Amino acid sequence: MEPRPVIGLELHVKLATRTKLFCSDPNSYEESEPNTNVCPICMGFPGSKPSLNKRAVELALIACLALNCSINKRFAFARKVYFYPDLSKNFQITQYEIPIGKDGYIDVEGRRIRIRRVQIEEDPAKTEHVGGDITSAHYILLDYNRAGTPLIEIVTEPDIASPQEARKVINVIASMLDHIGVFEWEREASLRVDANVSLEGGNRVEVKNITGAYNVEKALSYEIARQKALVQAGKAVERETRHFDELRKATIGLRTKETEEDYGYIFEPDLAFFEITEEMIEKAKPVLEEVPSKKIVRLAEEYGITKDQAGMIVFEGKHLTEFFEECAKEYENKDRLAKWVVGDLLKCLNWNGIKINESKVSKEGFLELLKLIDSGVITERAAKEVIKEYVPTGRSPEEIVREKKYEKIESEEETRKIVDEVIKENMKAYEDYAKGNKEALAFLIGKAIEKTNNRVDPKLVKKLIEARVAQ
Amino acid sequence: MVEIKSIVKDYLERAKSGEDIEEIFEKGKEEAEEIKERFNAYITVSEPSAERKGKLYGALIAVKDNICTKGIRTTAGSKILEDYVPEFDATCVERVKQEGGAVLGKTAMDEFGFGTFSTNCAFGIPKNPLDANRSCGGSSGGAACAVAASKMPVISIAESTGGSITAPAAFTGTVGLTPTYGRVSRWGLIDYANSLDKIGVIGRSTYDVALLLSVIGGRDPKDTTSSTEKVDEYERLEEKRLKVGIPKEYFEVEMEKGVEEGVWNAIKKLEREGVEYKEISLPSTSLAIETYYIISMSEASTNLAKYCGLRYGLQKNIEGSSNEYFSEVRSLGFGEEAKRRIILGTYMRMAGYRGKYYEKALRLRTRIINEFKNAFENVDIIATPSMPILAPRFEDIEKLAPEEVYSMDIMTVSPNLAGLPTLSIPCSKSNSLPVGIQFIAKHFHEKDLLDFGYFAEGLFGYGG
Amino acid sequence: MESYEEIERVAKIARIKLSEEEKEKFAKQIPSILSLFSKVSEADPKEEASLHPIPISGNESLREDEPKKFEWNPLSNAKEKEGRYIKGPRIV
Repeated sequence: MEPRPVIGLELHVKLATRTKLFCSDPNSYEESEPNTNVCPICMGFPGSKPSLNKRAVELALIACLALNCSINKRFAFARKVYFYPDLSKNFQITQYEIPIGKDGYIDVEGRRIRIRRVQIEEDPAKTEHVGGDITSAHYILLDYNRAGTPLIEIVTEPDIASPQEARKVINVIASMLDHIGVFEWEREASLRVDANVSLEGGNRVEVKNITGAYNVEKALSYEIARQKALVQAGKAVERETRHFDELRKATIGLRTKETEEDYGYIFEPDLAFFEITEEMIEKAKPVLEEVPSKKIVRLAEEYGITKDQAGMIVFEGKHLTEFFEECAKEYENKDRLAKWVVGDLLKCLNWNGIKINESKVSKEGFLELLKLIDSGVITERAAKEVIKEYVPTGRSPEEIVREKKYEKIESEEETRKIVDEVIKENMKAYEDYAKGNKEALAFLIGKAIEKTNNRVDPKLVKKLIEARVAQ
Repeated sequence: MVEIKSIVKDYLERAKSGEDIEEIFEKGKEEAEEIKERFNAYITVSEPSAERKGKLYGALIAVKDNICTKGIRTTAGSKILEDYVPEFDATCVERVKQEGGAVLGKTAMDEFGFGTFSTNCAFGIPKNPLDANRSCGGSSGGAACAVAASKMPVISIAESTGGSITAPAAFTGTVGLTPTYGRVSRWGLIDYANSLDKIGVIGRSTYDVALLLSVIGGRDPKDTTSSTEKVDEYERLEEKRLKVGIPKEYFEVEMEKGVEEGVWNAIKKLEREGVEYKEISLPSTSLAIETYYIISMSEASTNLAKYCGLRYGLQKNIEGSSNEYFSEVRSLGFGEEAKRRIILGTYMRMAGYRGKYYEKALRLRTRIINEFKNAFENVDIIATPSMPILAPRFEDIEKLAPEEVYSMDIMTVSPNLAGLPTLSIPCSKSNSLPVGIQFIAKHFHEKDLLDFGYFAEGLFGYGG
Repeated sequence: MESYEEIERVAKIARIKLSEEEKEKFAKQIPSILSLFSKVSEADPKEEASLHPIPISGNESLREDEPKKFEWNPLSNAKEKEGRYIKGPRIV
């Protein structure tokens, strides 16, 4: 029998605060010049001391409650010591003995995945390898703008059975945290994950620092295959830390010797004990009404869409849900709206690898497109083409239709001309159809659609071909 | 009773009544350069200046070199920070400046505070002004030396983790004030052991130390362990007779005869003036040295991890892997005692050992704190010798094994572990060397401590 | 940490490279320091651990989430830099 994979995840979620975890620098690093959003605290200068961001604690608490964790009402921080160039103090302020939350769970497609702990911690600096990769660079460049970013680390129990499920778990958690405002789910890659994987009974390998759920799936698939191959060859899987190479889609051994026992945790003596008060819990409760399970029910009821449709919208996060609701306020045909949101809109966004909030899609543009279908200006098929161009560019759908001549061919006469041409060019198929081959009809309709770039009405084409055979 | 005159007080009045402040600064600087030359009290002498008038206008403030001063090199006594010039002031320095105090220079110290005799210094060992063959004590040796050797209005900002203010005060015949943990903000203090580090003061009189504490004390949001307890105007001293406890375990320690006699004579003097005293017991004194060194080394070994040749301090050409580069820089930059403490501290935090050392020491600290609490139910002040010995000769220090040096801190580590405020004042002399007595008070009772010290100081008649 | 090798292993974790002289010295000193500390490792304290000498409430000093710029030059002490980046050694 094939050995079963056993997977546990550590998700690093960037908290949606305005400032860093232990200092007042802005919590944004993506668009700033290197080493500008920095101060002596996050850059680890001697004499500096951390002071804890209140909002980070509030958000971590909300996350713990949403993940059904029990809360440590009194918690502290710890220093995890390891030497790494991106770690400004060569220790990370994290939680060890007493994390803020523990023993929670999340249900993913009917399976319960247990959460071991949720801890608050700081992110290290960003590094760029110059002249090689992690093991071969000449040197690295350090940007501390990211250092001190507030994170929660969510540690699951090894309850996950496959790479596909790992991906699902990550996305479900990300979506939930997005809805309750703990985290800005800007793109799939906004999450960094460490994945522990072993084959039942074998040694555990930790694949560190994987970006996004998609890569987690790839990394785990590779790693499981690698471990299976070792076992089949009669070799042992070594207990080690590996790095995922996104380009090669492979994991690489890092030969670092640091193990858990070397971290030498101590209490962080610059910070005191913190208490979660009843007041803080009360304050968190209204936000929990926004968890996906509740939102799905509300959407289905309020807009008369199916639970599946609501589920798909909500799963994509807060921004798409908001987008749907805004559109629904102005657009009557909720079924068409829902179908298009979970259908082609989502498909195009995913194709472009972006979330709705960072795309150029607007309520106005999207509804304009739907109205073009409603009013019969374009066919649904043509609309599928228009949206492909609309999503990445944000250009007005009307303009696209005009420019690319997507308008539906309304006149029967014009359609008949096209049908005649198609039959002439595909005489064999026409004869087959005339002899009763139904598939040949579909082929002919397809040719007419293709020839006109989706502009003909397929129903009319069918009617005209049928009429001609009947003659 | 003798009135101990404060030179500082004198100068503050002269500056207030219009005496040329620049002249005070000039003379102060000149003298500091000379003290640096003769006794190695300073690592850096700076250009004194004051931008506004205030409580400290006319005073010169020497700052221990583990306290950050904007634009003035700050080394913590370590080669690994040889060229480090902070971009910001420690809160205590900022407050000194706001009150018109002038920073005179940065004083010598054991590397990162690791020492009892200021012999673990990267930039010259401070010598005792009373006998240059003897130690000033540590780790704030330069701070005490700068005050003891001066005739100018100098007060030192010092720092204690396990006794680094009391030891040098005792050996140089100066007054050393270690405030309650959290009384003075640690923002800008280069950490040794954060749960123990306390910024304090060394001066020539209780007035001097009281004055400076009233300026630097108080809550600072940048150090979240700093206390919101009210800061008094400590310099308004009033003689106060308080009930004294004599912990028997401290007097059972093997100590130099001159110290024992001097301290007992002082206690008798107090008694004659109507101060009641009674014997008390602090049984865990016998575990205090070990508890202190385990906690302080564990914390220190994490604090020192940041020094790795990136961003500031000792830096080399970037070559090799991070392991190779970090090891090279750290091996070059740290002195022997720092290395010893890093290795021991790292070991005592490691899984498998943390429970045996670090965690037990944290529990024993609680026990030590509780014993003091109980003792303070019956007395207001606890009196002990400051150090078990007189200022030692350098040649004798060299013969000591590390654990023998650590054991010299027996009088100071317990109150430091408990975060209690202490005051060391000279109470006697033996072979023309000063003997210090250490008074310990309840948390945040600095006012009582200083008022009692003021009374005792006049009675003993040393210092000033 | 009784042996030469063990001291070296711990030193390595702490990124300290010891000279032969230091190794020899420490191999003698460290065991005797640890034997002093054994008083603690053999004790059995029942008290709770104290993080600080005085109980401190962290809640009183929680920081409001308001951005504030620290006025300074973060690169003034850096010798190894490239543009606004700090230069560092290869990771592994």
